[in-house]
Amino acid sequence: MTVVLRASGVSVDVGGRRVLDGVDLDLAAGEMLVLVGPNGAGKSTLLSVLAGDRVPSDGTVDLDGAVLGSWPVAERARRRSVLTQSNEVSFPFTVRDVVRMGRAPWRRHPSAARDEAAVTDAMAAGEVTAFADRAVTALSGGERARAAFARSFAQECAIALLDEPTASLDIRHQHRVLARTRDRVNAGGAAVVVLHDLGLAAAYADRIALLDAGRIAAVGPPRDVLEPALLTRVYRHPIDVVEGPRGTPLVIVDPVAPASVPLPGERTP
Amino acid sequence: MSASLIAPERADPLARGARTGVRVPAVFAGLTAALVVLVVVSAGSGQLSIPPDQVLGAFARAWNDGVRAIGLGILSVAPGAAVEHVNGEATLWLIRVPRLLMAVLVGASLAAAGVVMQGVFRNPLAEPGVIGISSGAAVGASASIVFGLSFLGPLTLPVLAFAGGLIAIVIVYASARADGRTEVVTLVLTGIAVNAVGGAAIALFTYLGSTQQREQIVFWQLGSLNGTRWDDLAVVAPIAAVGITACLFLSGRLDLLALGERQAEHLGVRVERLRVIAIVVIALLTCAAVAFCGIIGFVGLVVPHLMRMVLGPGHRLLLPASAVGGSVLLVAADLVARTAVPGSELPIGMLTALIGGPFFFWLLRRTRRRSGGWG
Repeated sequence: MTVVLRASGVSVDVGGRRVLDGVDLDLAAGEMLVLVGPNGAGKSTLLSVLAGDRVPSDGTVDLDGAVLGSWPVAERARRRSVLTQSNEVSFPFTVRDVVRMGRAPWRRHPSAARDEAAVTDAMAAGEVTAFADRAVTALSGGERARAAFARSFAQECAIALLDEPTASLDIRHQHRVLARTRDRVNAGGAAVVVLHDLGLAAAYADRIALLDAGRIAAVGPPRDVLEPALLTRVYRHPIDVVEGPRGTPLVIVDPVAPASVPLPGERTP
Repeated sequence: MSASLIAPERADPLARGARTGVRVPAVFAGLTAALVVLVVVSAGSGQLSIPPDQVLGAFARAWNDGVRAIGLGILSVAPGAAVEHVNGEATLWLIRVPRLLMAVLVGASLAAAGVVMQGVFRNPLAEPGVIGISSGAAVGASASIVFGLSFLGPLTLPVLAFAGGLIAIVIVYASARADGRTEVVTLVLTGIAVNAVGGAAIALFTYLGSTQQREQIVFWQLGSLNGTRWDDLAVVAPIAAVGITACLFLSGRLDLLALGERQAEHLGVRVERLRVIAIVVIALLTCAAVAFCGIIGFVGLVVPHLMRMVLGPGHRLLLPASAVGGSVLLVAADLVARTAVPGSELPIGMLTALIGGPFFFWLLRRTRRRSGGWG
């Protein structure tokens, strides 16, 4: 399997604090890798390092076999798309205009012939066609997130990096976004997706990387990583995993007051 | 979630109409027609009145002379009516035409600078006058007058104006942005600070200057196209041409920048380079406007905003439309300035501020109401 994106020994310091600590991670073609972990574990930071937004204090990132920084910005944009968490558009462009902007990297390139088809496909993937002519600034948060997803989908890159693409979406669209991403991966693409919902991670990931305080606590197929003891420790909350009816692990979270699980360093009464 | 900088446009259905294919040519044709009519009317108006047919006749003869001089006599047109008044031709060519051309160039430059500034600040309230670029440029210009600087010949004043404007915009840009965008309140407060410092420097130069120099400095603060000479145009025209052309090249990338700086970079835009180019272009255009005509405020705010309401926010259309719209506004304002009070001349900067001030206030209120705060 070809490794398309590789982080080696990546560390990031922010204001003297180490938010990522020696992370090694490979993404292979045809693979969907999901990053999970509690708040502040470094998921978004890792994704921004993989995207090239943030230069790691230590370690390197390789894209298609060459150091990420050695690729021209325009070439990077043809190899990987990035969907960030916040997608605020500063002028009232229509949804169609915004999705079309996803095609910008392909200007003066043979693939520009696919522009219209790619925009149509992407608007269908994000289910934004119904409000394609509305200003993106006039949409609800979830609709705006879908427009942003459609824009990154229209970019049609082999590698997709998505930071919490399901955060403000309803159930239908959470699954739709991940299913469309999954389709791309099955067709030979690759994706790194940050998710909070362990159930979604279990359902769509080929591999899950569980981050804890800037390090990878576990990485592997969902069945291996979604271990009750490991999750309970990392999330500091009782978590159970059972076999689901369709073979995917089901994550059960007890509504127990978090205070009943001791924090690290906290004395148990 | 912080609210979007510009909230849902009521003009949304209009923006949709832009795609029907009728609106865009109609807007450009309307603006061009308005500009031509205004130029002809304005050229004929004043203490010495020249009827429109004679103005057109004079333009036609000048055109014929021009095309024959470059060996393209085949393009010549019917000569048209002769100018009857004995001083008509002289008034037209020595006073009114250079002044009109200056209004066209300055209006286009200010409006284009406004569009680029709003795009790069990602804030629809950014404007050269509001955030202090104009006063920075005026500081440079008044310094060159008061100290009688001429180390670059006739270019000294525009170069110093450019330097002053550039310094001001770099200060504002560096201090008003956070996380790749500019909060309205930060932008306005930074503008107040820069304008205060610029005002103090101009006051100092006014204090130091001779009576004649003071008069020149006062002219800037009011803004005027009075006394424009062909020599001035020879300086301003190339700057404006280069600046506006550069804007047109930036327009596609400015669209992407509306998505956010990181997002634009993910789409292949070299954001850092785009910013530097945009800032230099804004300073160039503002300086082209300020160097000879002083502070003519709010053109860069009102015109792009109106055009955005009609054509939508896409910069490929917004930029040329705003440039033409800026020319229309300034030619019209200059016509009013020259003719409203018989025998005297109103400062054009006062007129644009009279329209632009309340407009800015309305925009501020609307932005605040829609985004639920001063974000």
